[in-house]
Amino acid sequence: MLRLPIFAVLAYASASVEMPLILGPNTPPTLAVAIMNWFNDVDLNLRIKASAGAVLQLALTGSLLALWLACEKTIKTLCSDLLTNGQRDYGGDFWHKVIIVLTTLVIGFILLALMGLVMWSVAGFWRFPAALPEQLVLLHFQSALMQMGSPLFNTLTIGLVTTIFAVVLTLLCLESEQLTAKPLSRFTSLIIYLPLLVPSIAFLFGLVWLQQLINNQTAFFNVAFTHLLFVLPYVFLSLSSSYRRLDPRFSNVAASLGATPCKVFLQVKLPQLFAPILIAAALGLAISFGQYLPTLLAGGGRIATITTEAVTLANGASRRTSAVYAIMQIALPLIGFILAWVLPKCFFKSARR
Amino acid sequence: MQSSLQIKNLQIFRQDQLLLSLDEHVNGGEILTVMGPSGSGKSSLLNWLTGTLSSSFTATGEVWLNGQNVGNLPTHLRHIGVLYQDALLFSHLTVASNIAFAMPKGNKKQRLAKVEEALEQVGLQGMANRHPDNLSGGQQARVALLRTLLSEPKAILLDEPFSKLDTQLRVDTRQLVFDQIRNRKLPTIMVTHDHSDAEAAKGKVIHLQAINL
Repeated sequence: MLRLPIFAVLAYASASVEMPLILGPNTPPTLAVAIMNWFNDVDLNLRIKASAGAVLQLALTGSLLALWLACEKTIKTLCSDLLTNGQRDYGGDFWHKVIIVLTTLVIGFILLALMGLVMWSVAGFWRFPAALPEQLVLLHFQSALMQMGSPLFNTLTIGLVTTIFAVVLTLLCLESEQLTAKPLSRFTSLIIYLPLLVPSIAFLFGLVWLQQLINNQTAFFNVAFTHLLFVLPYVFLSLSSSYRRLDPRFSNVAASLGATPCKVFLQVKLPQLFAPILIAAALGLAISFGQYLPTLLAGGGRIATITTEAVTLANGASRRTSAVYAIMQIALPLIGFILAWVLPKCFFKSARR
Repeated sequence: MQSSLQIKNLQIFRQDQLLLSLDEHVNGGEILTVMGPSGSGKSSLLNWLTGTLSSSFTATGEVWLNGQNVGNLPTHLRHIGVLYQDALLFSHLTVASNIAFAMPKGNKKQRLAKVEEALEQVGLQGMANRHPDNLSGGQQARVALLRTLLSEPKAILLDEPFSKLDTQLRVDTRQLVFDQIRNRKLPTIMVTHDHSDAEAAKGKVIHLQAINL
């Protein structure tokens, strides 16, 4: 069961574009960044090289996943008697402590980075050795918010449209799985989770090419569609476990009371799924808000979102402005999750009244 | 016409092994009691009757309700009500909405009045706007009964509906359910472990054999 998340992480880590761009813009590029540079180069011949690179990236990620699988199988055969030799203590305490230390370190770093971010966003004049800025100003927020109107609007509308589509598609898919009493075949599940496993740099250029053939007028639609590819797996993952764990007896009772399958879906299942649907929607929104490469490529640079602006600014001169944008990037999904947490408490209040 | 539930030549198989076979006729107001150990197929029988038999079972046979073959109808068209061990009230609706869930569309005031009247009859007056999770087990069982009865079923199935109630409550609730069934002349099949349920039903009793796995 851990396999899918691990594969998703491996795929992302081996093919990420945003992180190398932000962390080391002037350092030798990773394969993914190199591919992107080739595709964007003025010399169109480099596109052929880039396509080759995309295939190479695919092979790279694929072999990483295969390597992981091979290690898994090897360890399984070598250590299978460990499962049955009766030994209970594998130094669990020691590893427990190690993990606690590591986790604390990682969380500590993240918190420190966040604090730094917040400091920079309100910093006036801040000389190097000083621990705190000399002045705290809201100027950066004010000026950034004035310019943020259009990217913010794009981010929100693309996110909402994509997420609504993804949630509706997922619900219909899961409902038909129950109505036909046939579980989703492994092939279909693979197709749904494919965008998580295939490096985006490898297929995005091809997708954009296809999109330009079909519709090169509305960038919004193209971007929304591309976002949908990435949002759908997460929404599906999130909703499917809740949906499949619904007690079937409620549906049976409702049916025996004369409710049509449509009524059962709308009046029995959906209210029970109110909180999971909101969480899946918040997750979908968060994924959509954070998409960089798909927005850039599918929109042809015409659509600016908070994330595209943030990545660009991260390489620019002003730490303060980019800090404001980064905070906005964090705040948007956070609002979504807070809503997902609070709304179920307002509607469909259960018990203790 | 006399209401009746007829099971013709039912055979339920689990993975090609015969689980149970049954051929019975139940008249309106009568209660057929089915008893047997776990795994003998009691729940499968009820599932088959409501049309919710899981795909790991296959069945042959027919079920005729009031002279009509309902075996090919989907669950929501059969008008066969079920009462389970758990009341299974919908948590997102009030008591009144739960009961009104199954009632045919009509004047809102009339429906509400009917619900209130039904609540009074079973001793739950004034509880229309309560939340189902706040009711005691016995109260929930009575609400579930009302919900099933007000859907105007043509037959009723009872799946050990009293087993979660304590002794005195069990006797009272059982009496209430059986009185309603006899008043409305509904053919009923009850699955139970309890012999006192079978005695109170005063109907035919069938014992199913356990299948050796």
